[in-house]
Amino acid sequence: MHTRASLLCRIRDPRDARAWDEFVRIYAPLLLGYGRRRGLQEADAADIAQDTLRNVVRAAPGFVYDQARGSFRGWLFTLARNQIRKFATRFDGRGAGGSDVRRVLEAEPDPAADRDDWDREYRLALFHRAADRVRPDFRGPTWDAFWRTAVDGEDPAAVAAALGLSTGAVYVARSRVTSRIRQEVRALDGDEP
Amino acid sequence: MTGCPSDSALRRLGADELPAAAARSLEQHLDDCDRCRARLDALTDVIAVGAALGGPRPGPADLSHVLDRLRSDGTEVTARVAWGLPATDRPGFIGRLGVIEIRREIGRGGMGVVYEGLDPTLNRPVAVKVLSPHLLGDAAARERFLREARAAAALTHEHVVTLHAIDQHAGVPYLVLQYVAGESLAERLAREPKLPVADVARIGGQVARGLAAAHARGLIHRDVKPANVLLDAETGAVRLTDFGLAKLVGGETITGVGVVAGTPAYMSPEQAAGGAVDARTDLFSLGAVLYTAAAGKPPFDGDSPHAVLFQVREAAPRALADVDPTLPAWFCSIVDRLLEKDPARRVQTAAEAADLLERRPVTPKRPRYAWLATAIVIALGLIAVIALALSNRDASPAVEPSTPESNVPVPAGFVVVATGNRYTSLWAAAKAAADGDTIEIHGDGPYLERRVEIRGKGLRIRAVPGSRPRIRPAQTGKFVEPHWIHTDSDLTIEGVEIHWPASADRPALDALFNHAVVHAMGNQLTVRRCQIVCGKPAVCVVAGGERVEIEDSHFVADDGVGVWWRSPGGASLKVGRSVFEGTAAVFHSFGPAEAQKTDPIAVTLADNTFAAKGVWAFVYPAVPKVTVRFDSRRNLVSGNYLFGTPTRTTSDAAPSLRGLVVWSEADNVYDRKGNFLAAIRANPWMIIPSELKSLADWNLFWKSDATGSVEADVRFRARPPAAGYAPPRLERVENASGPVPGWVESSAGAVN
Repeated sequence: MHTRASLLCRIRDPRDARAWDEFVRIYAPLLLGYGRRRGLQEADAADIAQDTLRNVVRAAPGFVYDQARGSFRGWLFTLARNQIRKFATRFDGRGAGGSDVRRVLEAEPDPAADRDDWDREYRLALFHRAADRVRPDFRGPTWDAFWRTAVDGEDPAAVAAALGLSTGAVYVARSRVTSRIRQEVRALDGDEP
Repeated sequence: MTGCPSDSALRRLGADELPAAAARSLEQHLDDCDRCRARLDALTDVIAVGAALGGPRPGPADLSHVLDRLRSDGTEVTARVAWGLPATDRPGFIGRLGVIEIRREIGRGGMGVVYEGLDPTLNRPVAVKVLSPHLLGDAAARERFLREARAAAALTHEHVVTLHAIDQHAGVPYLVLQYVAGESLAERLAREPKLPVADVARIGGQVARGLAAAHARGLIHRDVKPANVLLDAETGAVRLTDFGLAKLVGGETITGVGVVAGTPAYMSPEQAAGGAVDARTDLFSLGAVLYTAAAGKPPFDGDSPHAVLFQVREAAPRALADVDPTLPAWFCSIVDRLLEKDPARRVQTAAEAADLLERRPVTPKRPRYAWLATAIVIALGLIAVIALALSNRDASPAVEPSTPESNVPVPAGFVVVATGNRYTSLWAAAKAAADGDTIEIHGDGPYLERRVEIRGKGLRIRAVPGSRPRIRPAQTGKFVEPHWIHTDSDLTIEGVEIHWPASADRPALDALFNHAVVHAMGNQLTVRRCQIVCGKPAVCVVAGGERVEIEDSHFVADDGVGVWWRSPGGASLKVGRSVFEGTAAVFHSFGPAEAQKTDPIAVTLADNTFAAKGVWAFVYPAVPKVTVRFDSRRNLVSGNYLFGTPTRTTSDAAPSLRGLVVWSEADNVYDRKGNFLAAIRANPWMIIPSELKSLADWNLFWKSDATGSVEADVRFRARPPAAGYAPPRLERVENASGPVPGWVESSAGAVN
C-alpha cells in the first residue's frame, strides 16, 4: 500500500531534517487547542504545549521501541492531560492566579468525553495538515472540484459546470484528492485514524 | 445495472492507478451512474474526509512562537538526535551510540545534547556530546571537524576534560568525554552570581593550567566561558571542556538556531572582528570569565549579540575596582592585563596567567560573623555584651597580622578529629567517622557535596575558627533526593553555610515540605552560627528530636519553611538570636505517633527576627492532650500570621488553639501589617485570617496584659538581587508615638 515510513519513524533519522518541523506543525496546534479547550489562557496553553512536546521528546525513544504501549495518539493524550494536571496542582492555592487554575482543575471533564474530543481533534489536525501537504500536488481544477463539493458541500453538477468539467470528472477528482489525503495521513501518523 | 465497474476498478480509479483510457471511460460512466458515484465516494471515504476538513482547524495557524521556544530549549535537537538512538538491551538505558550505552540526558542546548553514558568495555561512565545536525553543514565541514577533534583527543591534563573518542552515527558526530560529576561555572554563577575572589583566582589558575597544556600542543580553545568550566564535585578540581568546538560553527550566526560561534560576552576583540587568532584569544576570554565571576556581571553587555560584539571590540569595560572596590588590587590588575584589547599588551602565555593567579598575596580576612553581630545589634536590640562576645570570638583570627610567610593556609577539607584523617568531602568524612566524633571543616570551600546520610552515629560538624565553609549540592536541578543531609542520630552543626539552589522543578504540593536541606531525626540537634538557604520549595531544617537548639543562625526559605520541628511529647525547642526569611519561619507539628508522649512541649523563642512573609508558627492540633508552652521574648515578628491552626472553619481556629497552647510573652514587636491568628485549610492550601486583628485582640485572647510587647510599623530594606544572602536589614520600627525604643535603627547608612 503505502511505502513511506510514518512520521514517527522518519523522525528517528537525524538526517531527515523536515520530520521534526512536520511533527511540530501537526501536534503543537493540537496541544494548543486542547489547552484552550480545557480553559487555559493563551500563554499557559503555550507552556503546556512546550512542556508536553519536551516530554514526548524525552520519552519517545522508549515509546517508539515499545509498540505494545498503544497508539501515539493515546500516549500523547496522556502526556498532555498529565501536564495540565501538574500545572494546575503547581499553582493551586498558591497565590495569584490560584482560583483560575483551580477552576481548570475542578473543571476536569468526564474522562471519556475528554478522550473523545481529543481523538476528534487529533484526527482533524492530521487531516488538515495532510491536506496542506498534498494541495500542491494537484494542478488545474482538481483541488477546487474536491474542496467545493466534498468540503463546502456544493452540488457536483453545478461545480462541474462552473469549472468546465464533466460531472463524472468532478467525482473522479474528489476521490483522487481524498485518496491522497488519506495516504498522507497514514504517512504522518502510522495508525489509521 | 450492467457495465458497472468492480470495486477494485473504482478504488484504482480513485488512487489514480488506471491507464488514462480506462480512467476516461469510467469517468464517462460516472456522468450518468448515481450508484457508481456513491460507490466511489464510499470506497474512497470522500464524505468523511470532506467532513473532517470542513471542521475547524485546531489551534492557531501561526506557530512561530512555539517553534522558537522548542528550538531554544533544545527540544528540537533532542528530537533529532535522541529519537535516532539505536535500541539497547541494557535495562535502565535509553539507547546506544557505537559501543556507548546511553543512560540519560544531562543537558541540552542549541549546540547539541549531552548524555550520561557507560563505556561497557571499560565499565566507566562517560559523557556523550551529540552535536546538532544544524551545526554540521556539508560532509567536508564534518570531516574537518572530526580531524580537529581527534587532535584534541590526544590531550590529557588534570584541568582538561579528556576526550576519549569521537565518532559519528547516521551522519551526526558525537564526542565521548570524561564524565565529570558536578556543575559548570555557569550553573554555579546562576545560583551565586558573585564568587569570593579566592575562589575566582583558584578557578582561574586551574583553567589557565589547562589552557597552557592545550596551547603547548597548538590547540586553541576559542570558547572559554563559564559554561565550559566544569567544577568536579568529587575532587574540587576545575576542568575545561569543549576544545575546538567553536571552530566547528565557523564564526557565523546559524540562521534559525540562534547559536553564535564562540560566545560574544567572552570573545576576544580579534575574534569578534573575525580576524586571525592565536592562543592569546583564550587569555582574553579567561579575563572575561574572571571578571564575570568576581563582579557578578560580564565585562561586556548589550541587548543583542551584535551589540555585545561591538562592545568587545570598541569599548573599555568598567574597571573592576570601580564595580567592587573591595576586590583586591592584585586581582583587578591580573584581570585588567588579561582584558587588554591588543594581544601584544596582554599577559602573553597561559602559564604566566596561572602563575600570577596562584601566587596571589594572602590578604587579611574580614571578620566572618560581622553580619551576624550587626544583625543582632541592629535588628534585635540585644545588649552589647552578647554582640561583643560574639564578635570577639569570631574576630580574633581575623585580626591576626598576616604575612605570606606566616599565613600558610591550612589545607582545605574535612578532618575527623579522633583519627586526624582528612577527607575531601563531608560525605566521606561522615562515612568514616565513629559515634561521638567531631568533624572539623577547614577552608571556605565551596564544597560541592553529594547527599550525606548519617546512620547510627552522633556527630558534631563544625567549622574551624577563621573558616566559613560553604556547602553546595553537587547535583542540581531535579529533586533527586528528598533530604540532602540526613541523620537518624544526634547532630551538632556549627559555623557552616549550606545553600540548596532554587529549582524550576517544583515538587507536587503534597510533597512540598517533605524535602529538607538538613533532616535530623536524632534525639538532639544543635545548629549554631549557620546560614541555611533553601531556594527550593522545601525546608531548611527538619528536626524530629526532643532537644533542638538553634542559635545565631540565618535561614532563608523563599518558598518554604525555615525550621520545621516534628516534636515528640515532652520535647523542647529553643530558637535564639536567629533570623528567618521566607514563607514560614518556624513550623511545628507532632512527630510520629510512636514518639509521642503526653508531656508538655516547651518552645522558647528569644531575640529572633522573623522576617518571614507568612506563617511563623503552625500548631497542628492533632494530639489535643499535649500542651505546647510558648515563651516568646524580644522577637521581632514581621509577617502576616503569628499562628496557624488547621481547621475547617475560621471560628474553630481560636478555641482549638487556646486549648492547645499555653502562651507567655514579653517585649515582642509585632508588625502592624500582620494578623495574629489564622486558620489553615490544609487542602487546598488556604490561609484565612481570623478576627484577631490587633495586639489588643491578641492580649484579650490570651487574657494577658502588661507584656511589654508593642505593635509597630516594621520595614526592611529590600535586599539587592545580586547581593547574596545577607540577613534582612531593618529600616524602620515605629509606632504612633515614634520610633520604638531599643529597636530604632538610628543610622541607616551605617548598617552593612
